[in-house]
Amino acid sequence: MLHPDRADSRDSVVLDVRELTKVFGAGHVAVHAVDGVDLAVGRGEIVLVMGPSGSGKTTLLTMIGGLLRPTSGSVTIDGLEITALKESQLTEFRRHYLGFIFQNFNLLEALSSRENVEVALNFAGVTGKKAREKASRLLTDLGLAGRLRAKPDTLSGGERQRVSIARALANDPQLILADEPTANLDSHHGHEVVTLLREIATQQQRTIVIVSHDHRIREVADRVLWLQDGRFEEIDAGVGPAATFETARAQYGGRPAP
Amino acid sequence: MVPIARRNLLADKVKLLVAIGGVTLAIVLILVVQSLYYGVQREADSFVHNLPGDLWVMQQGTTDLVFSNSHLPDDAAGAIQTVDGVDRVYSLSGRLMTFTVNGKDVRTYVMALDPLSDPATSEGAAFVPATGTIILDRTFANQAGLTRGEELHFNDAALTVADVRHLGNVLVTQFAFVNAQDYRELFGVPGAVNFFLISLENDASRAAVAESLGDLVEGSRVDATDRFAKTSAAESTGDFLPIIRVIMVIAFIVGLAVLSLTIYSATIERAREYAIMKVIGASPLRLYRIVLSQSAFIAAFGFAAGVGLAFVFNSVAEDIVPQFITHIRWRDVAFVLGVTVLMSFVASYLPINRVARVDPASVFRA
Repeated sequence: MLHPDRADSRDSVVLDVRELTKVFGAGHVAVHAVDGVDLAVGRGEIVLVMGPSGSGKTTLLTMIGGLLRPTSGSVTIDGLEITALKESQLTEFRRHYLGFIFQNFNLLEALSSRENVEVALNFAGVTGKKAREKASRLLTDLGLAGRLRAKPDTLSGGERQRVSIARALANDPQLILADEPTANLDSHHGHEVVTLLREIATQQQRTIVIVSHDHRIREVADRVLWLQDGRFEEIDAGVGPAATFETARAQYGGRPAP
Repeated sequence: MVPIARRNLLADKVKLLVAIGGVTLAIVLILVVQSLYYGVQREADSFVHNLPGDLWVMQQGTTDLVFSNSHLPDDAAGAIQTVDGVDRVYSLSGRLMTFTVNGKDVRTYVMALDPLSDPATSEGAAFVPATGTIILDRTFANQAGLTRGEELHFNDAALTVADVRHLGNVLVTQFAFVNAQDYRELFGVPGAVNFFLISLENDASRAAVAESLGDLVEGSRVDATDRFAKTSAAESTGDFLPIIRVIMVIAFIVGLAVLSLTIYSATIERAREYAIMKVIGASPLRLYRIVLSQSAFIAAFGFAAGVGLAFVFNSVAEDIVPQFITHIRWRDVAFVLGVTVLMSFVASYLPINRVARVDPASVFRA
C-alpha cells in the first residue's frame, strides 16, 4: 500500500481519498473492486491511474465522482467529505465542483455544441445570455468557434472531445475526472486532447484525475498510479522509470514510454 | 434554458408526428362523439321549446315525445281552458309513421298541433299546415328526396309537401307536422291526444295552474316546458350514453397508448443521456420535467389539432350525413383539455420511473 500524501502540502490538496473500499457481492462471492485505496491530489496536478481491465479504475473514478457509494473509506474534495453527503447534496456538489470527461464523449445528441455546454451551466443555475456567452467563450477557447451550432454527429472525434472538455469546464470545477479521454481518438486528436488537459491543469490550476490505458497521457501526468486488484501497487512520477509501464506495455501494447 | 425536451422531440420528426397524430385522433374521436351526444340533446330540447306553451300536460309515466306514449282524453281540453290563469290550450299528438315516396318506404315522426282556436292567430301557427299538406324537416326531406309540392302516400291518402325547414332531428327520427284534422283521420286514436300544451296568462302562477291541471285531468302529470325539454333531451340520448362512454374510454386509451409508447421509447432510447445529465448535475426533478415537457408538448399539439379537426369533421359530416347533428360546447373542449392533461401525466409515469432508475455510473461503460 502506498501513502497518499504526495501533494505538495495539505493546503493545496483538492482530492483526498482515504481507505476507500468497494466490495460487490457478499460472502464467498464478494469482490473487492477497490480495496483500501489512499490518494491525495494537489491543485493543478494531473494524476494518471492505469491498470488492467477489471482492476477497479472505473469503480474508483465513480466513487470519487460521487456516483457510487463506497463500502468504507472517505473521499474529500476541496475540504468537503462527499461520502457523507446525501444523494441530493451529491448532485448539487457534482454540478459545481466536478467536471467529467468520458471515453465516448457522452454529448447530448439532439443539442448543438454550444447547447451541450450551456446545459451544464443551466443545471448550475446559469441561464440565458450569460450561459450562452460563457459556453461560446469556452468552445472558442478550445478552437471550436466555427462549430458552435454543429450537432455532435457532424463533429470529428477530436471536436466532440473538446466539446466534452468545455462542458466539464463550464462551472469552473476544482476537480476534473476523465475516463479514457483519448481511447476513441486517433493519435493526432489524442495528442491534442492530452496537451489541452495539461494546459488546463497548469494555466487554470485545475486538478485532473485520468483513468486510462493510453501511455501518451503519461507525457503530461504529474504522477502515474498503477491499480491492480483494487490496490495501488506502485506510484511513479510521470517522467521517471516505470516498471508499471513495462508491465502495461507487455499486457496492452502501445508506444514505449519516453 | 436549453429546451432539451423540445430538441429531443424534434430530433425525430416522424415519431413526433405519429405521436401527435395519435393524440389528435383520440381528441377528435372524444369531441365528435361527445358533440353528437349533445347535438341530439340540444335538438330535442330546442324542439320542445319551439312549440307553444308554458306547461305540458301528459299521462303519468311519460318522459319524452318520442320514446314513451302519452294518452289523454281529448275532451279534457274544454275543462282545462276554464282553469284560472290558462290563456290558450293546444293539443299535440304524434306517431312514428311510414309513408311511401316514389315506391319506397320512408319513416318520420308525424305530429299535429291543434290550437283548439283560430290557428291563424295562434302562437303555434307555424306548425299547423293546411289540410292535405305536410311540413317536413329538412334532414328527412333530403334523405327522402322530397321538395315542396311533392307527395307522400299513406294508404290511399296523399299529403303534399307544404314546406321544408328545420323542425327537429333527434338522430333516430325527424319530425313532421300535418293538420290536426288529417292526423285524426289518418293516424289518430279516436278520443285521445298525446299532450296538452298550456299557455299561461301573464300574471298567472305556474305552480298554481300546474296543481289545478293535475287535479283536473285524472292520471296526468304536468311539467313546465323547461323541465319537459330537459327530460326529453336526456331520453333522446339515454340509450346511447353507455355506448358513447365506451367509445370515449377507447379513444382515451388509444391516445394514452400512443403518447405513452412514444414517451417511453424516447426515454429508453435516451437513457444514457439521462444518465449523463445526472452525472453533470441535473436534479431528478429537472429530468422529470424534461419527460413531462415532452409529453405535454405532444399532448398540447395533439389537443390543438384535435379540437380544430373536430370542428372541421363535424362540419363536413353534417353536410354529407344530414342526421349527423353535433354541438361542440366550450365546456366539452375544457373537458377534453382536462383529459389531455391527464393523458400527458399518466403517459409520463412509467418513463419518469425509468429515468429515476437510470444509474449515472452507467455512462462510464463503453
